[in-house]
Amino acid sequence: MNNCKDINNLLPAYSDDALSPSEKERVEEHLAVCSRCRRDAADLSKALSLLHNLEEVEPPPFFEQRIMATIREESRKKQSIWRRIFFPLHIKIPIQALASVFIAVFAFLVYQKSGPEIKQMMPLPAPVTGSVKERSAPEISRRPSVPAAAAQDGKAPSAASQVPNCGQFAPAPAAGEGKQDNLTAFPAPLREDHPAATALKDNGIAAEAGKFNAKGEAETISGPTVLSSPQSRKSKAAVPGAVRESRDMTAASPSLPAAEAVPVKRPGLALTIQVLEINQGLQDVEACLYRFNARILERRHRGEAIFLKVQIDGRRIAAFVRQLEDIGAVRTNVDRLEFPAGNAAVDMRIDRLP
Amino acid sequence: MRKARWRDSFATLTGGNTLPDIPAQGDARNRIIGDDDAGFVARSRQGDTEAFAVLVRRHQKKMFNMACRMIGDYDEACDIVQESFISAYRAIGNFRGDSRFSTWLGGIVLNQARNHLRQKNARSGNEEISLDQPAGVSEKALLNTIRSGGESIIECLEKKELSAKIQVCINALDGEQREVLVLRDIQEYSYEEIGDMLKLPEGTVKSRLFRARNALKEGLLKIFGDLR
Repeated sequence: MNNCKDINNLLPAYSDDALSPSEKERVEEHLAVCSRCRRDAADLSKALSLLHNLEEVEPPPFFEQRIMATIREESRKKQSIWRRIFFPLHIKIPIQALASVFIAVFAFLVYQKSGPEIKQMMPLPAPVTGSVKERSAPEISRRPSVPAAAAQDGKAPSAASQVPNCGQFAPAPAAGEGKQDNLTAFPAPLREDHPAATALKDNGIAAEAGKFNAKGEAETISGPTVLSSPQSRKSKAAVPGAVRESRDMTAASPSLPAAEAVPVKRPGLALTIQVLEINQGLQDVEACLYRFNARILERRHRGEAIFLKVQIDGRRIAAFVRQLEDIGAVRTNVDRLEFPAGNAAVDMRIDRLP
Repeated sequence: MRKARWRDSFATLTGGNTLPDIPAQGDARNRIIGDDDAGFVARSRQGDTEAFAVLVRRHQKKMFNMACRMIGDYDEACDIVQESFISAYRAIGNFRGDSRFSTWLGGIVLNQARNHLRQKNARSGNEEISLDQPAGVSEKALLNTIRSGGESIIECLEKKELSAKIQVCINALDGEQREVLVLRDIQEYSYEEIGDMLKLPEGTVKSRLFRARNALKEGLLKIFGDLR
């Protein structure tokens, strides 16, 4: 069975020493007797030797550089895809910054849309400059001049001493109608307008102040510490500090933010209720407010006086005031208690009867 | 990890090189001992082109020779090796390290060469390669080969002629036989590595190789008449 063809097929494995011992022995026995197969084995060995000694082919010069140039180009393209995503405008502002701007704009729009409701629900103190601006409106001419009145009472120094407070806070814009802001009976921020008005008049600077005096309107209520009359306003009680303040404020008004310049549509009302006993009076007022479904937006105490900012249906204000008259002496800053339907902000002061 | 990245960034900024020393160019076969490519492979996976350049430098010659012997054309082998390295760079993230990098790279070159031959055969209408056809490798390889010391031009030419004839015989082999012959007897991969590349069991690789050796011997005998 040891024919030459079979042995010839086994020779490559034999040369690779990959045969089993029995096959190897069979091949060796055959090679010992068959010269043709010995020659075939020698040819195979020579062929393998030629193959192993085959010279390596040299790659072309700069082959590595050529490959790497392509790969670096590839890498740059890959990077530029990411760059295109994160630096779309080819400027040094990454997409994160654009996202921040987008979020800020979106938040502003949301705030703008829901702004009025937020303001109604949460009346925040606003800079008094808002009330200063309102002073330039025609209605302001009806407001009393507190410092003048104070001067008449011989309290000019105290009025002047309140000036520094004026730069701090005033009632929120929703409730901050012109008349309300300048209600003399209300805390310091409200009273600070008046030195300015007086000063303007005294210096002949502002037309508003001129109107203010010419009209001589004193129908707005006056607080316990305030007297309002044209004569008192004309008095020379305006202290230099107050004059300075008025100039500063007048100068500041043109640069007010646009948000504060939005005109308040709803009419405002300020009430002063003078009662025999403050706590009892407060309870009665709260009960009255409850009956009229009014909401207390803000509550402040100053000395014995209690200041309330309430929200009430405008159509029910007249009835509300009539009810209050049963509790104590009521004074308002308006002649006619006619208000349109919808929520109206009312500033209330509860004070002891003198 | 963070520290290593910082060190790399610092090295990049300062122009320093934190990569292992790059061996001088020489014989690729002698340079690769074990799989000392692992570090460069890891860096290349992170997009470090300089690390990949080291891998290219190490393996370009071996891969080029493999492609040359399989395709039988110098220029086409250049294109195939270049494409193979680009493919390897793109796919290096998929290299799991189950085998040596050179084995994985060899598999890519092998596939590229197969695809190329398939397209070439489709274009030429499956023309059989004759032993009378001249080999396309040796003319340009001759120009690019530096003569070893003491070797005359005649000797060099004789060697090239011999090399060309052997290449003709290799080209005349069946595609499957040619692959195993080149991988085992020229590139000296182990049976296991060849099995990995060709996705074949070792026994199949061996039997295919032995048939290829016999076929080559027959081809050489036809060209030279006598090999002794």
